[in-house]
Amino acid sequence: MGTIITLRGRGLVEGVAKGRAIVVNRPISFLGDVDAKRGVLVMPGTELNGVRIAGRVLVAPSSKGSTVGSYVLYGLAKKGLAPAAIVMREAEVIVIVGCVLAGIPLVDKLDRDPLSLVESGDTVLVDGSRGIVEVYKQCRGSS
Amino acid sequence: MFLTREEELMLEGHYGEIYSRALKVLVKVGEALGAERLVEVPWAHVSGISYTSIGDAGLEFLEEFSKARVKTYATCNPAGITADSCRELGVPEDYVRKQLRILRSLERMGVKLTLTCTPYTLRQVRPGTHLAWGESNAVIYVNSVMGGYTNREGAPTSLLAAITGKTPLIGLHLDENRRPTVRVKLHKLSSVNSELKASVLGYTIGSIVRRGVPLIEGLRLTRPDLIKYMAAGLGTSSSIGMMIIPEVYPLASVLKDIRMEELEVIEVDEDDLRSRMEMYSSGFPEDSMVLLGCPHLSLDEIREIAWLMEKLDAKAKMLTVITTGRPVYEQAVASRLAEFLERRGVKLLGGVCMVVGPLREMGVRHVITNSAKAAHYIKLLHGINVTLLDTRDCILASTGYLR
Repeated sequence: MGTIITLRGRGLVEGVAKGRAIVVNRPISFLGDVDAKRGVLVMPGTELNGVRIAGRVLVAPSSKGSTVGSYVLYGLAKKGLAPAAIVMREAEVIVIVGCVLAGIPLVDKLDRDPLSLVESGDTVLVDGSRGIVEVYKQCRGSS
Repeated sequence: MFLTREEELMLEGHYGEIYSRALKVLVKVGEALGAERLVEVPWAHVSGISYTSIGDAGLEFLEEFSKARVKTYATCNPAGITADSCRELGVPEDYVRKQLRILRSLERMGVKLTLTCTPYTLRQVRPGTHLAWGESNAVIYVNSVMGGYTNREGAPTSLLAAITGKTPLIGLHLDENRRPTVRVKLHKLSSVNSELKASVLGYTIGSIVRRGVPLIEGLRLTRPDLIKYMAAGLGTSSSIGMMIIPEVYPLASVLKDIRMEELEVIEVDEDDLRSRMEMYSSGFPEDSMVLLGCPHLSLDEIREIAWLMEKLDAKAKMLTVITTGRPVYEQAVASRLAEFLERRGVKLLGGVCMVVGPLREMGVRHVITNSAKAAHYIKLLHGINVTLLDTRDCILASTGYLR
């Protein structure tokens, strides 16, 4: 048995998607931190290096870096390598533009911090139309 | 967000699918950032057109959106390379083909292939005119010197503004965000008398102030055109979109309502500039490329370089590239200035930006330039070491007089 945590925030780009979470604990630059050809993270020295983002729910504080990052999201979507949905503490222009162009549901400004509640591997449902994020937590061992 | 009837129709797809998607992006951005409405722009300057910068994803995007025509006057930034400049520089064919596909897409959309990072030299801008410009040096210049109203648009949003003729009414489009947020005092600084010093000064201020609208006090420029180097440096090290130099800003009357004593004061002196300069001092190796033209050179500046070569009666010994926009390049060719420089071993490229060009592919190992912006990005994007020198010393290094 598991529990479901529901977070409410701002739905920026519509659409509903479900996937396993991948949590990046710092602002992400889609140009640089993501390999646009293979759809994997490029974060040398961290356990996220080489992890695929295709079909996953990407959780991060915000985006940063070059505005070309929007094109990277669009390019990933055309190849079927884009994240299923994106959840951010606060989305800024690069990720908003990229998600609209790529059709990726995007939610931000949630009532509780997604970075402390969501762990990589959790199943997450994102409703970008209503601004709702549901996190499915598996019970672990005795706790 | 409030939308006009015409904007609603565009969003609903009455003008076609591309316009609808383009406007949707701008509306979403506007809503997220709290814009009350969109504003019409008579001029969009499209950035992000070099294949080095935007890659295959950007190329595909441009080709898909090139089914639409721009609804406003639209100019564009320089490319990584152009058809007539690539052969002698040894750029791989695949790169050239993709860069040319990008340019053809823009042309199909009706974007003027001005290929310049100094669009403010193309037309007059009446103070208060709303614009949607990409390219930070141009944004800072037009806001600060001509009184235009534009945010620092990114690659996609500048293109979408060109397609729709609109941009969200936020940020520097609103008077309340165009007031100084910090005072920068330069009273211990000797006069700014070179492209290099202006450029490093802007770069230094940007790296200290980072955001907002700095009010620059005590600036002494020996030539007004040095401001463009300062603007380029400022945009490189910060997210700043405008500065206020009271002697220059055409809308400086806003300053009379500002409580100066309430603003934070930052002092910048010669030591601050020196420490930034030292980040770019890796000597003058013989296989360096000497690069002038970041931001793009005016015709007068190109003449100045030619005159210096003539005076030295010397020929460039290093690969020496100077860059300008397409319109100035055509004038330089017509007046045989380009030919003169060629004989002196100086390669004048029109419509090209070497900073986003295929430097590695060209085999460039080291760069000497007078521009802090070029130095910063060449090191960051290409991992190539750079030495900063003033314009005259760049030429002296190129001709072998400086070792």
